[in-house]
Amino acid sequence: MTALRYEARLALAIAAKDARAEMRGRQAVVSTLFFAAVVLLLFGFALGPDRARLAEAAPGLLWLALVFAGVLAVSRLHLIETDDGALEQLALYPVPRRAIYAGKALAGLAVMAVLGLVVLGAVAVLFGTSIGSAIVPLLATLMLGVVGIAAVGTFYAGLTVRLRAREVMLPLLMLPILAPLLLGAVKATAAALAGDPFGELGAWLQLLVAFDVIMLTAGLATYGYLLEDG
Amino acid sequence: MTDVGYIVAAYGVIFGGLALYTVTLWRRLRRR
Amino acid sequence: MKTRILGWVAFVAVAVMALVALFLVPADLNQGDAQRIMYPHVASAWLAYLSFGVTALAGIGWLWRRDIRFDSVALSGAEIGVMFTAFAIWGGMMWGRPVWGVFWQWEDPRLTTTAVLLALYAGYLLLRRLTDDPERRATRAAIVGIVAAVDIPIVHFSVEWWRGLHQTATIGSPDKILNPAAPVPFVLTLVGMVLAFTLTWTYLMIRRYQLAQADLGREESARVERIMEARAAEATR
Repeated sequence: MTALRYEARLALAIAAKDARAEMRGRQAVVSTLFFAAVVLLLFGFALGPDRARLAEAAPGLLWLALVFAGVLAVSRLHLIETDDGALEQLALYPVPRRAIYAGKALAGLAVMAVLGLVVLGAVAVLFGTSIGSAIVPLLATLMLGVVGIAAVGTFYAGLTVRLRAREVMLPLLMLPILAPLLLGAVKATAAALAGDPFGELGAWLQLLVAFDVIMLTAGLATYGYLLEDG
Repeated sequence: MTDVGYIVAAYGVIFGGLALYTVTLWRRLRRR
Repeated sequence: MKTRILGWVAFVAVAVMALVALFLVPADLNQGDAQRIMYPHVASAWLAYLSFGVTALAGIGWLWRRDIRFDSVALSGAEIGVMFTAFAIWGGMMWGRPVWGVFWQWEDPRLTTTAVLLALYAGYLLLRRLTDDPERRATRAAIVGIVAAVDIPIVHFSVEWWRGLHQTATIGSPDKILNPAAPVPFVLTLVGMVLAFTLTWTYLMIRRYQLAQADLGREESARVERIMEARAAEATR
């Protein structure tokens, strides 16, 4: 087995372990979902009741809810490890660091994808946006966006999990990095919903792809340092 | 506010801030 | 000794350029006197980004060589950088209000990117405060610095694209000045201001680096003291 295939299988194994752990403690996934729903509810109170205004704001609200819930989702996946020192154990094994990061990011992606689909549906219902006609570009945007959130979030969750004040440091470090992803995802969503009148959807999706690739690469490259002395 | 006000605010903070930071550095270094 | 000379040269240069920018160089035809703010604003922005680059590179240096001096450079870059970033934003707002009519314009890539830069710096500096062990602190800071540095160009590009779609005319951007066809006095003043600020930056970086190294020494002796005390306490038990 080549080194790359070995790493890939390792990453999948870690992802599967984490995903299983999350599913078993099902309340975690469910409570993250409820958090997102509550955020949407508050948006409704803050910006409503004018349906036109809410519909216009819907792409932004969708992604804000995902980003905030994403902070919680990724922090959980690393908390599993610290609760019984498993992260230290993992760091001791001669396991390529990249694989650990990839595995955790994959698990994060799985959670975020579920979150994304549910929140998209909720936004469609609460803010009256019709997603049927644009479902393909919407799903593409959703996937590209949550990959970015998972990539960045997993990385910073690993960094902050052993810090004091980690509850505030994780969002503080993660959210500014996500600014361009938020911009791109919101713009792409808005363009998709409007039927892409200016032909900008492609460009925004490209931005998301670039962001994802760059951030995944950075994460893969530096996660090792994070585990060793972080 | 006339333009002068904005100019004073800008220059005051920037150049004043530089001076303040420099002096603070000097004091911190002296204490070592 | 050489540093002290540098310091005084920088001080004179900054003072002279301030006077030039305020009183000597003519006012802009369109923007009037408010355009004078552009000089220290642009100079500050340049140094904000230079500092950021230095911090990121120094972080790489630490990860690569494990020489703690790299981390002292990184810290200096971050602290001084956050100051110039704040100056750049403040200058941008003071310039924007009389010229654009508003303190803030979201589609201005420079202003918005610099705001993100401020947030990234703040996170970096806070992160450093939360770790006591110097080597762990250096490693964590280096990682954060590198990822943040990678993000900044993406932010800039995305906001530029955002603006392109909104099609707002940016009046009074420094681009006009940086254009070689711009009037010579403006260009000279800007260059002079940037040089004066860069001299000051160099001086401050050197001094802050010295302070950081001195702080490390104190941290180390405090730690040794504590270990000795603990051992003495154990011995007398």
